Amino acid sequence: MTTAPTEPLRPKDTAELSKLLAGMYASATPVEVRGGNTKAWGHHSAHATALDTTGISGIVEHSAADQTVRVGCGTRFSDLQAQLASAGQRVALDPPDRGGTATVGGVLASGDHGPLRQRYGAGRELVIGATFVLADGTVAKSGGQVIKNVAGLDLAKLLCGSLGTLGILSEVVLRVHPLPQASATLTMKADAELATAAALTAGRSVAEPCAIEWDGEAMLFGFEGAAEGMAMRAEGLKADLQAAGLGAGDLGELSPAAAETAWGRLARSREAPAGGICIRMAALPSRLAELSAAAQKAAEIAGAEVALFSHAGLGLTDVVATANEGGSVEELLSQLRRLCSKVATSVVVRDRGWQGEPEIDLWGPRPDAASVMAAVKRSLDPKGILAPGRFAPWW
Amino acid sequence: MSLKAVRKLAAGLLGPDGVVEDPAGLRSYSCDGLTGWRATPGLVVLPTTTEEVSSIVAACHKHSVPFVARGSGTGLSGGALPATDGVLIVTSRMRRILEIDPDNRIAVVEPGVTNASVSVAAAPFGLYYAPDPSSQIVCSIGGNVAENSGGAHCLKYGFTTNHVLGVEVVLPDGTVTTLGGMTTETPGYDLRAVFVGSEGILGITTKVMLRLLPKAEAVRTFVADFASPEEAGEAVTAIIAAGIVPSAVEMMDHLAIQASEAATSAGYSLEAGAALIVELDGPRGDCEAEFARSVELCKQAKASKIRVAAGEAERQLIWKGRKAAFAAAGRLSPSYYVQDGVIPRTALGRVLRRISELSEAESILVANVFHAGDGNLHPLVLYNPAVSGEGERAERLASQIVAICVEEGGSITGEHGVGVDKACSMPKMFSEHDLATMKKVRDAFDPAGLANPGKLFPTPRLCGETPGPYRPHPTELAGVAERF
Ligand SMILES: Cc1cc2nc3c(=O)[nH]c(=O)nc-3n(C[C@H](O)[C@H](O)[C@H](O)COP(=O)(O)OP(=O)(O)OC[C@H]3O[C@@H](n4cnc5c(N)ncnc54)[C@H](O)[C@@H]3O)c2cc1C
Repeated sequence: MTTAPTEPLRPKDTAELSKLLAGMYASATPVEVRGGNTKAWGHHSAHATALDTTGISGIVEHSAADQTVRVGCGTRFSDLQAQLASAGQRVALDPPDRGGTATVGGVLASGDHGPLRQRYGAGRELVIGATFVLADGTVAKSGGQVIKNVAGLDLAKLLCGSLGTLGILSEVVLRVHPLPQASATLTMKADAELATAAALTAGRSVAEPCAIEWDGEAMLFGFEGAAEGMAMRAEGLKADLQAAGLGAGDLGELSPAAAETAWGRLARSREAPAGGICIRMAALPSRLAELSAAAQKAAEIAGAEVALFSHAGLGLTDVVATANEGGSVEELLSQLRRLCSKVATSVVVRDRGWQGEPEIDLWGPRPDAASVMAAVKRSLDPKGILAPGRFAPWW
Repeated sequence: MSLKAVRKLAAGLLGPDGVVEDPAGLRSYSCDGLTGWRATPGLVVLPTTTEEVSSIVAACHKHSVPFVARGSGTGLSGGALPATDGVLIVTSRMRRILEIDPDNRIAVVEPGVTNASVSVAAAPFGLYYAPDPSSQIVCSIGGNVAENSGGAHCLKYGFTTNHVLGVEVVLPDGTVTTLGGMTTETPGYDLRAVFVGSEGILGITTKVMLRLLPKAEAVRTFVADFASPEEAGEAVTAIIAAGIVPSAVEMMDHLAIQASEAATSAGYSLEAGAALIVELDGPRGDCEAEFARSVELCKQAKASKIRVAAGEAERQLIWKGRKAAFAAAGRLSPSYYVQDGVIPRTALGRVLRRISELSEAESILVANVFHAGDGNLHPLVLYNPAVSGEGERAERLASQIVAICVEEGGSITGEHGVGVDKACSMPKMFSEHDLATMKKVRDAFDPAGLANPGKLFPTPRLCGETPGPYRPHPTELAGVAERF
């Protein structure tokens, strides 16, 4: 094994990326791809050569009337959104901004998302085509540039959330949506029990909130759509909450400025604090209150401070934690796994607020499908050079 | 022969109701909705549980017997065309809706459950299952998963892949596993994403977890008449540019309107050059506002007539007219090819001109039905097989239309799938490397290549050394299949 150079490699286009990878594959050199390096999730290898995608950048083609954009994966996600906005459009995905450096490829490969997932789905729902490079330098594509297309296996979606282990995204085609004409944010104080019931009611409401969030103290409901409809939708949600016996007495609308602050704070809050951790628990939305109780209990046992942030309509709850004097986030993690084994389908670590040691069990119990996943990995990257060990110990 | 061993196991496992062996019975499974391709399966089994599917697939694996899954057999690309030396595994006895969880908006169903019955089961809770292929009364959820089926409303709501949370599958070696699950996220690779739309080549779905949506509060539908499809296409562009995402935008050209009216008398204007069906849904205030704006935009785009559905009955009638267009083409001509190409919507005018030039050159009529919102064309290429040479000319025309779609940056198929029908067209869209990469994923699931062989990927056996125009299928040459 060769030692890692200090300067990351920075190809400027797909052809150069392919050439670089082919060389590394020939010498079995491990590679870790990075975009903005804002979501270094999963395990990392100390010996891997860093490959920086930010050279493959820029919008290749924005076809506003066809609602598609083709973009280099090293493009900053925020730059893409700014350019689309000038044409009245956006990618309907709102991952935490993380300092504005996140790249399109990084957002997709990490599967990161924000509250809008409630309405539009995650990156996998919005990617309609991809050009990517396999470990051995093969340039391949899947999908295309039209929204509707069922020709062949949908590998673009497979690469979403694969954390740079199956292939390196170089260019993607995304579906874009019109910027909403109007938006509104409603909020109400809610403990875990109320939040659970309110999220379920909102998820079934014909008022169709595009975001259903709980920050541990209050619910935030987002609405987007026609200006003429906003007031009716707010009233509609209120009526639905009341009909469900949830009071909704203090359901109030935030001013645009206050709403922006609230959504911004919510996005930032999911980053792991220094020395701390962000743990993602996936469960049915109806189990939120149980998760919350388990998190409090785990925190007590482990000697940690925890805060909960839940995409409550989706059943995706993040526990952001730091250890108290003498406590441990590692212990918190294993307590959470123990207490939630029947409630959550997975408890995985996302952000860590430290580098290197201690190495902890990021992924938890091995899922059933891990053997097919490992087979897919072996088939696409037989020498295992792309981010080796990222999903360890599973493969 | 090895098929014998599988037959013996199946007979013991499933009993007489679960196995079809007599020649007439076997022949009734010889094709799906693409009736031009036929092959009599070696054996047909009708399991009722995941365990039974698993045992049969494990036996196929052990004895190197190919197997093909079949739902309701409505597929339009020959995906469920049986293997003559293999087993056809039919899911029509796996029809239970296992769970409706209204709070979490999830339905768990067996693969043979029909698409429409999911929405029926969810209706008492104000919920429904969004993907709505025109065949929804009969087609199965397992088939929908395999084909990543769409429907008239996929412009706003997406395709099957956007509504499947998880699938329990029997892998090609007989192992049972779950890809995805009941929750929005599951850790590791999103294998559900490649499984949906994989046309039965990665294994057999035995249970599907579906996301349900609340039924929209309001729906408004109207039909706008235009002098030509090009003008109707411009109206669609104007609606989209105004930031409106209708739940459906469909179009029929003059000839398609004639056929549909003859069959349904749904009230479309016979003199219109094109009819645009626009549907908006959502919260009432939003829906009404966007409806009014869309009508106005159609008027500005020179619509000669606007017909607003006065109520649910008239709305249903409008849709009946649209959905009948396929079958009604039979009134114009004894036989026809249906294509399923996709173009970037903005290329519509140009593509239609090229299609009409080709249609003139070949003296073959083409009726056009489109999902106009997303550029998915369904040209119906009409011909009379009794007239010598017409079949060939129609086939040539149909394949030229597909080539045009690819040239315009589109796709060979928007919803019907590749199957055997378009396997030889895959190289038009994908390079050798692209296809080899897809094959690598397939190999990870099915190294022995026993699941639905000969589908999706071009094979020398099917397509010759180089991809090209139609050649007789090897089974046809062998006399075991005929193309009508
Ligand atoms: C009149 C008509 C209208 C149609 N309209 C539409 C439309 O609007 N939109 C659209 O998308 N399609 C449409 N179709 C096509 C067809 O209905 C869909 O492709 C449907 O999903 C097929 O379902 P099926 O149960 O009939 O599958 P089948 O035809 O039985 O099988 C289709 C494919 O799925 C595989 N398969 C079936 N079950 C399983 C399983 N359990 N596990 C793994 N693989 C399996 C088969 O091997 C085959 O490859 C239409 C067809 C007709 C005849």
